[in-house]
Amino acid sequence: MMRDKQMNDDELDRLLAAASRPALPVGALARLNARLAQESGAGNVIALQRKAPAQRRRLGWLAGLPLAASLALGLYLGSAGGGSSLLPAAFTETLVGVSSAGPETGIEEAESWAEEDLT
Amino acid sequence: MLASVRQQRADLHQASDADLLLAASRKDQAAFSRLVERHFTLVHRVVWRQSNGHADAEDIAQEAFLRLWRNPAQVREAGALKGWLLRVAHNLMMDRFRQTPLQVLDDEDRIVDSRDNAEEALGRTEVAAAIDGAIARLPERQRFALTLVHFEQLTNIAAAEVMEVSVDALESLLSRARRSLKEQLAAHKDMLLAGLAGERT
Repeated sequence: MMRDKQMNDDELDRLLAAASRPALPVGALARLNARLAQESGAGNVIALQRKAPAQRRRLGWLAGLPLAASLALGLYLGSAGGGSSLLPAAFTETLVGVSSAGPETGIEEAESWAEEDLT
Repeated sequence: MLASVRQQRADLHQASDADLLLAASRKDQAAFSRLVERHFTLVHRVVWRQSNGHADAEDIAQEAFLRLWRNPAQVREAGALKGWLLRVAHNLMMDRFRQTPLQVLDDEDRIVDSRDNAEEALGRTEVAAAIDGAIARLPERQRFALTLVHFEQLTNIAAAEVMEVSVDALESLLSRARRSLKEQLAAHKDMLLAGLAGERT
């Protein structure tokens, strides 16, 4: 009885010979060749270089130069006090008038209005 | 013109793997396609067996060839090409199914249950399904050894190289695989063998 439950090498080999053998899927080689062609095509493409950011960076520096020069000049003129000679005459006269009359603070008027309210 | 194309095709058919690999390294797709024709069926069959007939077997085999196409210099000796392809395909398969393990159908139970009569012998298709199921239930390394040596007729040395194990280790895997298959199939051996002989009682 036990002997029936055992299997020898020959029997196993006969059974293994009956195992499924997969057939190559139809069109498998054509699909692989298509993928190869796709990869080859990808290899021949010259990638476009993104030059725009580099140009923008260079332009940024160039644009900064006049701004920096303008700032330096402004600081120089401001500290030297010679800037007023470059300003229009009408503007400088007004400024002179204001300085001679003293500062207009509006505090006096405010006080008078406050007194009116009390009365 | 036509004659030269024919001559070129004939040359490709006669070219050795080494020549074809060299040409492939210069991105000669015709030469590489010849390599594909020679080895794709084997690689597909091994992946199919290892993945228990999974639908992704073709895709995995394709991926192995694409890796070779991208860098043919990876194979230093043409004699090692077949082993390289099988190893890469196997590794790709393992990576793919690491996340979602392969399901093993319990063909043995299904077959026994499907019988109308306990004495009835199985058909050839059912016998094949029972054997496929038993192979699928083997541990992965045992199944790989059995596939390479028994189904693909690789020598023990070549199979051991593919599996990156010693020949002794490979023989041990083979021995355990056969023992396990015998144990699995012994209970139904009369029915299975009768099915092979085409008997119906």
